[in-house]
Amino acid sequence: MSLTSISFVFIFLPASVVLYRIVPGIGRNALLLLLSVLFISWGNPADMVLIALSIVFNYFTALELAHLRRSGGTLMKRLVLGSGIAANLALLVFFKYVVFLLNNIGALTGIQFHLTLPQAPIGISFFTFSAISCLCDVAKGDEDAILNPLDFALYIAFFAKITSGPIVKFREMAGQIRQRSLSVQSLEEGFKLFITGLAKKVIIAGSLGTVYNAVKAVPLGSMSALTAWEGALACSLMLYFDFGGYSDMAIGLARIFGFSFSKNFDYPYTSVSMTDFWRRWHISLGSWFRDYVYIPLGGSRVSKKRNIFNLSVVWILTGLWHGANWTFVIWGLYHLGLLLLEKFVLRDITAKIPSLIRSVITFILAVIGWTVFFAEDVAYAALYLLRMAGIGGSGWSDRTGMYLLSGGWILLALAIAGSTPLFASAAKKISTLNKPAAEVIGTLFFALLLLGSTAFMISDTVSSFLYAQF
Amino acid sequence: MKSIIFEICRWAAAAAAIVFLISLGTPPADSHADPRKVMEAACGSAEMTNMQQAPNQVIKRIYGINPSDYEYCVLYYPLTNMNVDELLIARYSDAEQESALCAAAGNRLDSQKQVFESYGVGQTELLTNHSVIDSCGGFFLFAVNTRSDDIHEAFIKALEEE
Repeated sequence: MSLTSISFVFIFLPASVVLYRIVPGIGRNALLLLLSVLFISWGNPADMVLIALSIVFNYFTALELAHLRRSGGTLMKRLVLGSGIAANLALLVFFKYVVFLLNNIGALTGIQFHLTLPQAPIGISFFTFSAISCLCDVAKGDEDAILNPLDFALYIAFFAKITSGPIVKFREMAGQIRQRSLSVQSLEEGFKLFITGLAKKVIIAGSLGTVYNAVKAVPLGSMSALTAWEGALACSLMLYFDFGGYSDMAIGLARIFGFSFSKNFDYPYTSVSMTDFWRRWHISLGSWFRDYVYIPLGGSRVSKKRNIFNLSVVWILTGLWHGANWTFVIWGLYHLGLLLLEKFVLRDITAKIPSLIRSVITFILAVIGWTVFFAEDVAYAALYLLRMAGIGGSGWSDRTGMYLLSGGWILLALAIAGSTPLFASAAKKISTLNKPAAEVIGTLFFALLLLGSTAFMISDTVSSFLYAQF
Repeated sequence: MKSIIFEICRWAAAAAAIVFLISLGTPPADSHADPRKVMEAACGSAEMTNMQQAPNQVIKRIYGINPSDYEYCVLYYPLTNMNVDELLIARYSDAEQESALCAAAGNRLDSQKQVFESYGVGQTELLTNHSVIDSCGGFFLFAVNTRSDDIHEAFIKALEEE
């Protein structure tokens, strides 16, 4: 089931909220788990079987790690943790990377592999990372109390986050599963955030997707720089509103049921550097890699060479996490290169540049990165970048580019403005002028957003979440 | 003792997952046929006069799939907008690609029916009664042609050949 389907928004969610209010406190986690099972099984029941087996495996591994930590078996603890992580990664590799690996081996050796794999279960990249987070936290002692099996299953399978995250760490959620408060305020905040995310996803990202698809339909051989930049801008903004919108929906859903998840995006396109960008974009993934890969490798408190190695590992893995394609690896390496430049070469120079100019440069660099990220293959990415530089194709500008610009510039300008805190701060200012009036206007605004989003959902223009495929 | 119980339980779950994966991932045996020969066989059984080979960009535009994601993906499409003959053969690597192809072909068929249903009686008849969507042994076939049954038969036969 998709979070942007009519059946979810108008049947599953309201029914879940009503049931959650009716059921006494002690049964609420069981109810949420039951709803999550229904949510996962809706599309493909086989997904639930695999996720259930993963939960059982990880639950007993966590129990053993907690037991070994108390009894002091260091070597055994390492073995259990290592095997637990390896098993989770094996599942991920099997579904996401085996075909990629075999294709590359085939290209090198000339051997053709014909392998047909079952479809990857929903949210595999997210629930395996959640499971690894749990094992690491328990092994380290960051989260001591192991939950009962049903609550543990809820941590892995909670329907708000299983499709596309955010990747909530075990130590951040375990306490909330045991005890959380529920108020009218959290319900209101949750619904507002959910509707905002829904509108971002179905109205803005959906419309940007139309512009991007129009650009993609232009053959690269006759593409002008103007068209290429329009496509690059559209895909960059689309990804932000798609995944940012989804994250708002997931965090809003969690809020409705009393959980409090940290934000996953913090206006990344206003960042003043790439380092800043990665503190604001997909925060939960960056934080996961920092806590479970970068720091265990030694982080930055090591020699310069070792630090570069640690960063390289993190960024190759970050690229690969997004998908089994060389474009993702190159995208990861591109960001690694920019971060290394900032950290070791340009630090003194960038400090002297006004922040507005730094923001514009960072935005352009991010957009260039997304063109590689979205390309079907490396050759397409290289050609597309050449077109953006005005090399080949139809030169700097042509009629197609002008036509697309005349139809899409308002949307692109609004989306750029929407990716900054401009609208949020304006809304905040209005709300302080006249509180009762602001409340009425606010309610009407969210009702209109829901209505508009519903119209888009009904017209069936909503694509699946871009990040769900990662 | 506790440790042993935990070990048994977790590895039992892992073993169950492997068994489950094997049961899921046992599709019909993959064909080792050369995709070009499969296409040749299908073309040999089709009425090809109204068709031309499509560049990748056209496949992307009308099917919404990226041919370079597939080991083999070739489409013959109509010479003019008033014809509906099509022949798509693709080699897929996993169930995800297979379902993407099925969905893309289904959408294409539906949209063509919508285009022609009010005025193109012949085209609608062809789309309704002479179309085939099938996947087998790692190969996918979509055909709209007066000889769609012959194409299907030739496709299946070609898959059996090494």
